[in-house]
This record gives sequence, C-alpha cells and structure tokens, in this order.
Amino acid sequence: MSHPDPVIEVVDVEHTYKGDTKALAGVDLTIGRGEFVAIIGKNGSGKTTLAKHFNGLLRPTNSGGAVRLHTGEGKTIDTRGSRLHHLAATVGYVFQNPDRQIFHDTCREELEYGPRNLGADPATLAHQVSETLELVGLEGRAEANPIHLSRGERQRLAIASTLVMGCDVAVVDEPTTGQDRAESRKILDSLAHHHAQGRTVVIISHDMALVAEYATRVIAMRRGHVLADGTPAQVFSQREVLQETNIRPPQAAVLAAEIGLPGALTVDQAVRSMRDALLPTSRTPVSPIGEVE
Amino acid sequence: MSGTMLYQPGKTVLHRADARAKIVAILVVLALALTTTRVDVLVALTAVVVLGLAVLARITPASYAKALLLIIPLVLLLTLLQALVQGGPAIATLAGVPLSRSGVLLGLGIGMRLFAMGICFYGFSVTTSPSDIALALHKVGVPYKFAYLTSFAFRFLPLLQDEAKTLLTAMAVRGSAESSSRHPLRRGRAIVRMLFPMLAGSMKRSSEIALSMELRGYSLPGPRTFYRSATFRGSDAALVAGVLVLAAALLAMQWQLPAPFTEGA
Repeated sequence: MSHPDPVIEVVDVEHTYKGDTKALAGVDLTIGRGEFVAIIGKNGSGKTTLAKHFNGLLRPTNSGGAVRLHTGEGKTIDTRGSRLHHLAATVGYVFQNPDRQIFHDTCREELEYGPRNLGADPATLAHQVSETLELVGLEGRAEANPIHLSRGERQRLAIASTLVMGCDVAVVDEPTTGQDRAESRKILDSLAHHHAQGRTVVIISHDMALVAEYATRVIAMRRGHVLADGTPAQVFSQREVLQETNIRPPQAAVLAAEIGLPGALTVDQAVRSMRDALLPTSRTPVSPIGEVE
Repeated sequence: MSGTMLYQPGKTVLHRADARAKIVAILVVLALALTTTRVDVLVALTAVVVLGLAVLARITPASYAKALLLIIPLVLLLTLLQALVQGGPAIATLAGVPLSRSGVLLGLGIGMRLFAMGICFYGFSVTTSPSDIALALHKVGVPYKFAYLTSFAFRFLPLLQDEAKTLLTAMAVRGSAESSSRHPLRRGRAIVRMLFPMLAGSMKRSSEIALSMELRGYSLPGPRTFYRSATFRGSDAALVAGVLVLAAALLAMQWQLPAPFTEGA
C-alpha cells in the first residue's frame, strides 16, 4: 500500500540471521503517518524481525535493502547509517517482556528516562509523565516500585515509558500476551488514544478480535514475505490465503461471512449486519454493511 | 559467534573430550595462573591457551575478543593501583607521583592471569554441554545435587548475558547513548544501572525454576541415574598428559629463566 505521507519505508529488505536462517525474504512496504498497523502471522513468520527493522534494532542483511524513516520535521533517515539512540526519537519500540525493559525503582523515574535522554524540558516533563500514567491507567502509582505491580500493569508501564517519549511511531511487540480481556482492552485503548493524537502505532498480535477492532491496516506475514496487506476487512476476507498461515479471522467475521453477511469483523458489526438483513424495515438508523471497509 | 558463553555443539577434539579431562586441564591452568605473577610466564600461558583453543576447538580469538576488551579497563586500573602502592624503583612519574616498576609488572601480571583464566573458562563453557558437566562432576564423586547445581549455573550464565543485552538495548531504544557507547566509562554507567533489575529478575526466575523443579519431583529420595554416559578414552588421557607437559614447561621456565624487566636480574 502506498501512502501520501509515509513515515516508514521498507525497501526490498532481507534479513538472514547467523546460522543461515532467512527471516525476511524481500519485504517492500510503506507505513503512512497516522496508521494503526497490526502485523499478524504465525510464530517464526518474520513479524518481530520486520518490526525490529523499523527503528534500527536490526538492519537489512542484503546490500540492496533499506529502511528509511521520515521524521515529522521532514528529514529522511536511513537506519543503516544511524545509531540506535538517534532513531529512538522517531520510532519507539516496546519489547514483548516488560520485565526485560524496566530498570528503575519507581514508575515515575521509569517514564522520565526516555524523555530525559531526548532532552525533554524539565518544566513540562512532570506533566507529561502524569498524563501518560493516567493514559495507561497507572495514575496514583507514580512512586510505586514496578516490582510490586501486576504483570499487566508492568506491561502498561513498559508501553507508557515509550509513549511518553512522543515518538512519531510506537512499535509494540505482542502487547496483550497473557492478559485477560479487560487488561488487553486497557492496553489497546491507551494505544488507540496515542493513535488518535495523530501518531502512528504498529503492533504485533495474535489476537485477531482485537486486531479487527483497533487496527486500520493489517499486514499478514508468512515465511518472511508479506502475504496480505490491507484494511482488516480486506485481509480477513481472504480466508483461503490466511489459512496458509494458520490465521483464523475473528469468529464474528467468520460467522458473518458464513451466513452471507461479509464485511462484519466484530460482534457489534455482525449484529448490526444481521439486524439489517433480518429487519430491513427497522427504523433504527444503522450504517450499511458497505461502510465497514 | 556472538561472544556468549553458551554451549555451542560441535565435533572438534575439545567437544568430544571427556568433561573430566577438561576440568583437570582447567584446574592445571588455574593453578599455574594463580601461583605466579611473572608477566612472561603468564603471557606464555595465555598464548598456549589461545593456541590450544584455536587448534583443538577451532575457537578463534575473535569470538572472545569483545569480552576481553571489557576486562582491559579493570586491568589498567589494577596496574595503576599497584604502581602507586608498590615500592621499588620507579618506571615513570605521573603528575609528580612515582610509578613503581614492580607494581606495573604485578598489575600487568594479574591482568594476564585474568585473561588466561577467562579464555580457559570460555573454551570450557563453549565446548561442554551443561549435562556433561553434571555427569562428570557426579562421576568424580560430587553429590548429585551439587553436580546438578553446577551444570545449572553454566546454563544460567548465557541467559543472564542475554538478559543484560536486552536491557541495554531497551535503554538504547529509549534514546540512551550510554548503553551503546564504546566509551568504557559511559557504558559502565549503563551497566551499573542495569545490575539491580537484572539481579532482582534472576532471583525471581531462580525461585520460580526451583519451584518448578520441586513440582516435577526433583527432591524425591532415591539414587539418581544419568541418561548419558561418560567414558574416559585414550584421547582424554592424552589431553591431560599434554596439559601436564605444558605445566612442567612453564614451571621450568619460571625456575630456569630470570624474571624479565627487573633491574639487576
């Protein structure tokens, strides 16, 4: 998908790990400013390897491959020629396991760390920190030691410590692993809020129901290639293609498609479609199926 | 190779050697390194260890050079301290303070000692699987629990290294220049910051692993058996003999040759 205002450009990227494991076998894609992208695919399909190229954690191993970042100030940076901490201001990255990225004694210090490195103004930092803690539902825990937080709270803290930096793009690797519905929703809601401020969010996820609900674009990976790329409705409608990578679209979408109401992805949308189909004279204003892309 | 001390399967002479023979070899090298501070003997010992690993295990110095670079600041500090506190004739003066010649030699000697021992441990860890270590220790009479714990430590070390790497990367992606700095002092600051969370994390993990082991019947009474077996072959005896010859040669060097760089020697 091309985009009029790109923020990350991935050009013919291959990545081969030591030991000859080819994780990416030529990926081309552009991520536009303000998108909410979900990368899906089974384990080992190259999702994390691709995402780690977005901020220079990994560099293409082929000479022709390149990853370019377009900053808000109109600069273009090639990740190959830049140090990791220089790219941090443009693309933030949250690792899968929060316990491997939290290293301060209080949540407040944890959040202050990134912005301080980027030269944040001390006068506004306190406000920024409390605002972000509130965003992820950790208000009132600023002085708590992260060790004493629950796993879900630590995950939200790890995400907050990246969001607080105000990067153009936030990449979050499997943000909801091991979390219940309510906790997963809190996490995705905070990312959606970040996205609503005009920022770009990229998540890697196995939770198709959440992907369908929150993402504006889905990239399905298989064996180091992009298998499908489009809106959630476009990608989840390609069931035969997705079967190759063992992805099942959200159950609501499968049910709606099976009974001849394609286009619905979430339970709410499926219910609306059914209502429309069954009660065509219904007076309640409901949006037509076609509106859901 | 990534420089981690993780066991890397292979078919070289050292990979196939019995872990007991390798433990004897390590003990001999340790004994040699710890009983002398003579720079010439320690340089020779390090050279033999480096050469031995290259020939017998195809481990090139490049694979552990990074780890050695980390020790260099420590060695320099040690040398400076020894140079300041030891007496005897001065080799140079630093801001008016004389630096003792014997102190400098002692500091460098201790540094070489660290190199020799470190490279030796690296070679052992990379060519010996943790289960072979447990088996070997058990065979020489170490109680099962302690043998198992030792092998466990070898399994844990690479995990810690990996965790440290992730933490440093997590700092870098949040804009920290320290964590990827090549300047040892600046990088040191990032490492210090990382130590406490790493320690807390490993304590948590070890208590979880201990529980999970108990849950799978680890401390049940009764004799323990091993699935794998270890046989001490002729080639292992040859390895031990070779190391003993090396020890004799280095001891002879120590006694026969005068210590270098000393005045009036």
